[in-house]
Formats: sequence, C-alpha cells, structure tokens
Amino acid sequence: MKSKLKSDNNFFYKYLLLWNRFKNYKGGLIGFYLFLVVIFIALFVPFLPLCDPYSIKFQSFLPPSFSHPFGTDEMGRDIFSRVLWGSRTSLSVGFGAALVSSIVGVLFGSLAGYVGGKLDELLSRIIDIFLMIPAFFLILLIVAIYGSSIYYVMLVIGLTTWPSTARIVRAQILSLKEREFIYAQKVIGSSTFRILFAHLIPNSIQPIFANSILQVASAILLEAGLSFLGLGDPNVVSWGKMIYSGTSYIFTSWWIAFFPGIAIVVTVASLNLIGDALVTILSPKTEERGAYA
Amino acid sequence: MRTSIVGAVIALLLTISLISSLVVSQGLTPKLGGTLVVIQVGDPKSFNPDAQVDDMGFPIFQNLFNKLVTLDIDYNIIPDLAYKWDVSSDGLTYTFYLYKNATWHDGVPVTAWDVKWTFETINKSKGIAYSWIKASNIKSIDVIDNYTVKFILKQPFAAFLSFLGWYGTFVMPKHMYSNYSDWLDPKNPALQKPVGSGPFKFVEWVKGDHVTLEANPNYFKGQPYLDKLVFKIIPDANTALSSFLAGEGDVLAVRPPFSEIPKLNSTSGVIVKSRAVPSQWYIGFNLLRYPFNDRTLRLAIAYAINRSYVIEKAMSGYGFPARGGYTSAIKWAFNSNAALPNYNVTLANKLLDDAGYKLGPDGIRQTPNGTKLSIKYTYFTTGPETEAIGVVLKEQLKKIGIEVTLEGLEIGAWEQKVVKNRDFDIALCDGFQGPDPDNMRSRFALGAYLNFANYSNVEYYDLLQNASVTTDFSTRQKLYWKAQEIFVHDLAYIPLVDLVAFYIWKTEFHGLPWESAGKVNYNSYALTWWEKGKSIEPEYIVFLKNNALAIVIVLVIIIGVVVAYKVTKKKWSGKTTS
Repeated sequence: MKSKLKSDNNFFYKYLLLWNRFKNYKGGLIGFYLFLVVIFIALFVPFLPLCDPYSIKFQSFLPPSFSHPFGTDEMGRDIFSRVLWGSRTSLSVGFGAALVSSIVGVLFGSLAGYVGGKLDELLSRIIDIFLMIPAFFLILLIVAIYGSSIYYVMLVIGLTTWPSTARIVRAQILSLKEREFIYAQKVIGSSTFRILFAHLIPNSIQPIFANSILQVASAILLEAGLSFLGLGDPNVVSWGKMIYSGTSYIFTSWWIAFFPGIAIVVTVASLNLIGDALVTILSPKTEERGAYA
Repeated sequence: MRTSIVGAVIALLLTISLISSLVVSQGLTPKLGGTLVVIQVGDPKSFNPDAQVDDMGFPIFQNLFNKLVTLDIDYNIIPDLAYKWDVSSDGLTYTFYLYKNATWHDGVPVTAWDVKWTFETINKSKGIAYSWIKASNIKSIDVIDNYTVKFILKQPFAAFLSFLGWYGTFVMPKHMYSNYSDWLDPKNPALQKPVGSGPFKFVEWVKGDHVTLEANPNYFKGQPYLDKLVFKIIPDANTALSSFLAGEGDVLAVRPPFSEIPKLNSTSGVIVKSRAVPSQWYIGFNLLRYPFNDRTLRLAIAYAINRSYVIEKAMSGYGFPARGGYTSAIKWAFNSNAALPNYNVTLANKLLDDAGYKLGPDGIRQTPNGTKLSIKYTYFTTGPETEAIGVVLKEQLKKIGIEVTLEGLEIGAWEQKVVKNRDFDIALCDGFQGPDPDNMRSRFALGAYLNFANYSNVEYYDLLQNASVTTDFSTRQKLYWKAQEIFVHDLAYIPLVDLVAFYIWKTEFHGLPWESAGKVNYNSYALTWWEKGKSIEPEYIVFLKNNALAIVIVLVIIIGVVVAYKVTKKKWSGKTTS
C-alpha cells in the first residue's frame, strides 16, 4: 500500500504507465516515430553537409537531380536544404505557440475553476469572447500591420489559441477541487497558491498534454497558412512560404511547391496521430483510465 | 546557238527581277481597310473622358477624342488639336492655335469655345486632371478668336503642357454638354454615344464584351487606314492569351503571365516588344539615421548591387537595369551621363575599409562607432518581387560584410512606418515617374511627402524648383540633367530597375502607336494599317511603284539585248552578204 502511494506520486512512473498504454495504438506509434525523425532533423540540420538554404547562387528552376535532390526554386535556392531547415521554423513556431497557449490557458482555466463565483463568470465570458473571434483573421491582421518576425508569429498564435486549453483546465479543476485530497490540503492549511500549483494543476495536466500536441500541429498549419499568404517572416525558411512562391510555377516546376507540401503533411499528420491516440487514452470515457485523470 | 544564249540570258534576268520584285513588294506602303481587335482587361466606366479616373476607358478615349497637345510613346509633347502653341517668356501665358478643319463626329466644328468650356468645367466639377494641371492656378481662359485660345496662369508651371497632354484633358463638345448642369448627367446622350473629334467614331458598346469604333472619314489629320477598331474585353489574363493565340485579337493589351512571354515570342506571326515605362523600383536610405547619413556607405552599397542580377533573380529577367537618376523612359529628360555606380564589389569593400568600417569576427562589418552593420530592409507585400529583391540585396550586401534582415509590411503599415514615422533603415518603393520630370520634385526633393529618405540637398531642390517654372525647353532640360548628376552623386536613393511594358501584336499590322513616336499619342491607332488591306492607289500603280527598280533593270537589259542583237545581226548579215 505504501509503495503504491509512492509510485503513484512518481512523475515518471505515471508516464511509463501512459507509454505502456500508448504502445497499443498503432497509429499513435507510427506518428511518434515519424515525429522523432522530424525532431532529429530539426536538431541536427546545422551539422549536416547541406548547401546554404539562403544562397541564390544556383541556377533557377533546376529539376530534382543528384546534386539537388529536390531541385532548385525560382531564385536558385536548393529546395532539399530549405525543406530540412524549414523543420526548425515549423517546430519552433509549433512548440513556442503551444507553450504560450498552454501557460495562458492553464492560468486562466485554473483560476476560473478554483476560485469560482463572480471571477469564474467573468473569466468564462472572456474565454467565450476569445473562442468566438476567428483566430486566423485576427492573426492575419496583427501580422500584416505589425510585421512578421517569427517570435511575433509564435506569440500571436499562442495568445489567440489559449481558450480551448483554458476550458479543459477549468473543467478538470472543477471536478478535482471536490476530491478528498484537496479538502485534506485545505484542512491542514495549505495556501491557495500551493493547492493550485502543487496539487490541482499537476493532476490535471494530462488532458492538457494531449490538447497541446494537437495545438502544436495547428500552430504549424497556421504559420504555414500565414506564410502562404505572403505574411510569414521573410528572414527564415518556411514551408508555407515555399509553397506560396511555388504555386506560380506549379505547371512548369512542380517540385518547388511539392516537397515542402509533403514536409508539412508528414509533420502535421504525425502530430495528429500522436494527439488522437493520447486523447483516446486520456478520455474519461475510455474504460481503463490513467493513473490519475 | 545565238538565240539560245539570248534566251538563257533573258530567263536569268527575269528570275532575278522576279525575286527582287518579291522582296521589294513587302515594302511599307500603308493599305486601306481591315479591323483591328485590341484585347483589354475591362469596360470603360463612362464615356465622359475627363470626369473620373478610368484606366480601361482611357485607351478608347485616346482614339475617340483629342487633347490640345498629346504625348507620344516617349512622352514627348506633340501637336493634337493645336498645331502650334506659344509660351510667353514669363511662363504665364500659353496661346494655342487650333486646326481650323477639325470637326466633331456630328459635323459641328471644334472651336476655342469648346476648349474654354472643357477646362472651366474641369475646374468647376473637379475633373481628374484638376490637381495635375493645377486648375486653380489658371487665372483665365480667353478665346481670342474661334481657333485661338489663351490660358493665363497665376504662377508659372512648366509641366503644364505635359499634364495637358496626359490624362483627363480631352477637349469635349460643349454643344453636347452645355444643356446639362452635371457633366455626368445620365440623361445626356453623349454619355451613351460619345461625340468626339478623334480618328475613330463610336459605334457600340456591349458591356462586358466589346466597344466598337469605326474610321472617321472627316478626321482633320486625314482618315485612318483601318475601317474598324474593336476593344474586346477579357478580364482574365490566361483567357485573353488563348483568345489572342486563337486569332480572336490582333493586339494583346492584357499582360500575360511572364512565364508565357517566351512562348509568345516564338509564335510565328506574333511580335513581342518590350520597352521601359516611366516607373522604377528604387531603395531609399534613412538619412536621419546613423550610419546611412554617411555617403561613403551609400556609395559602397550602390557599388555592391548588381542591378542586372536583381532583375534576373527577382523579376524572372523582365525589367531593365536602372541607369541614372531618373527613368530612362522619358527620353528628353533623362541624362545618360549621370550614371549610377557600376557593380564592383572590390571597390565597395575598399571604400568601406578606408572609411573605417572594420570587419568583425563574424564576417560582418562594424561602423566606426563600433555598432554592428546590420540593416533592415523594409518593403510592402504587394507581390512576390518586393521580397525577392530583398533576398537578392541580402546576398549581395553580404559580400561586402553588411547583414540585411527583411521586414515585410502591408502597404498602409509601410506608409505609416516608412513615410510618416521615418522608422526604417532602407526601404523599397516604386511609382510612376511621369508624365513630366517635375515628378522628381514631388518624389525626391526637400519637402515632398514621398521623400521618405529625407533627402534635403538644397542645390537639388533649387534646380528642380527652378525647372518647374522655366518654360524654355532646353534650359529646363539642362536643369533636370544637372539635378540627376547631383542625385546620383548623393545616392540618398538608389534606382534599381526600370519596369517593363510588353507590346504584343500580330505581324500583319503596322504603324502601331508604339511604332509611331512623334506622330500620334501612345494609344492612337490612327496610323495603323493592315497589310492584307486594299491598296490606296490602283493595283497596277502600286505594282509599278513597288517594282520600279526591277522594271527599270529589266527594261534596260531588254533594250540592251535588243540593241546588241540588232548590232550583231547587222554585222553578221553584213558578213554573209559580203
């Protein structure tokens, strides 16, 4: 009994359990391995023997060949190198935006759920308002007017997609705060801050985790969409922008838009597979529930 | 034996003459008749040519109406309704002498009263040309007699003639309009069936499909060669291109995608010509900011930019490298001696080394103040080329140790940041720089709204200010030439690319507006003719004219042969008899 309690509180043990269940989902597993490859590329691309992705020194519109596996684009840049470098932009935007969105969402959601009453009403209405705003057009407007540095795009995507996280956290906390261990904490006189950050939030983190993975995917798509409309950061390599410039030449030089398109599909699909598997595992409706949920 | 030699010689000569006659008969004698179909993007807004900006109506108005003076393809001022004009030495009085045989399409003569009415109405109803011709600067318009009209200005304005010849200044028929208080009154029949004075008369307008004009046999400069002129309306560039290739049009005035130009170029029976238009891409430096106020740095950057390479990489090769301090498309004002620095990286690096911009450990230079030479290029996101130009500049400036980051903004935000707040390092801009070089003053000189670089050379400003009130043509030209020398020395702005326009038409048509510099305005088909048309003179005269040389040669040879034959025959017969 004692050892069970101890292992239950062990962070890593919980995730080991999660992994054991995750392994059974074929789709999720495929997504996971694909995503590992993408992460590997993003981390190690500076050490790979590639051409400079910004250099325009090659001839324009070269079809795929041995020296340029994916061909060159309209300005004579090597597409293979650009696709690999583009993974860094996409992943950093994806994770950055999801991080911002999670932090804001968790703060809002847990406050609304735990404090309740008038504050809950107010925060819930704010969440509703943000849910109603068409995020993409808001992002489009902000980026068009204030410029499109990659950090900006990250922040803006994060700050417009947090409400879904906030709602999940609020619902979690509403149910958790009625549980005995929270009453116990109150009885022994723990501060609200401690209850929130040491007990409630860590215990409601798993559904947020699944949600965040899906948000990474949607942030990657949003960034690609922005770049496709010509509003991405021009100083970094972006898959969306590559597709945007490739569309004008789609009938004469298909490879310019094709390969970055494939890269987006692979990355987003792998994240969605992982996310879907996690949602299934962590859903309260699933028969066998997680260690804590 | 004898006869066979003579026969052979004659046959040879005949073939030669036949070949030469074939070559000569391609000669350029205009022929009558034929219909020219121009494919353009959209419908005209109305048939009042002076009331509103109407880029689709304008090419049609240029054939229906006349102005006092007009502009040819090189932006030279040429006579239109006025065959002659005088400008007083103080630059305040312009006297125009009108053609006496000019009539409206309904037969009423065109007189000075029409001119007076037109310009007074432009002033009263705020026509499109109101601010360009500075209508409020016109003190009075006096009719001296039916065919002489005098404009008296309050302040001298040297670009007045150019703007009179440009846009929204068509002389309109007073007798059709004076009964209506509003010149856009829909009840006015002249707005449905315009009455002009130009080489072509209005026939019909089928909205969204075509506008048909026919030749005006009473045109005061002589009847046009064509029978009909049709403006066919096809909004989509690809559809327009395929209609043109299918033979449904003769002039393609809808610009096809750049990628189709080479294909068009190699199509037989089609001519593609490109020429520079008075519009440029240029970058400006923020002179309020260190280190861009250092001319050496700007000069080095100018040396480091390979303008042909910019065109090749960023504009698919379509454009002309800018050569000097003004657009080369307005030939009379362009000074080809005021040349921009030519691409030379070694020299650029040397200039920076000598001026104390030392290379840092990361390969990027530092200003003498010790700050990193990393600059921001601010552009508006109106099309892919604005960013592409930045990508090329980034690559080229890297070679002289300058780091460039790109900042793309929506055009309104660009204007706020660059033009109003002056919050930028270098910025890209473009725009129409005609129809008169006075445009330099409103674009680059001290006090101009668009002068975002804050270029404030007083000498440059004075020259342009002076030129804007000087009416003597060659003095004015010299002032502009001098101003361009200062401009390319100071390099507050660096012109990069002269934009290009394409003229695409069927080879069977000749004398198109862009081939008739100095004769007609840049949209007028008054001198266009079709090589399959009827000859103006009877066929046999044309044949004789075209083959004159061959006929003379043949005649000379035949006579020569006959004479020689006679002579030899005499000798021979003499021999036989003796």
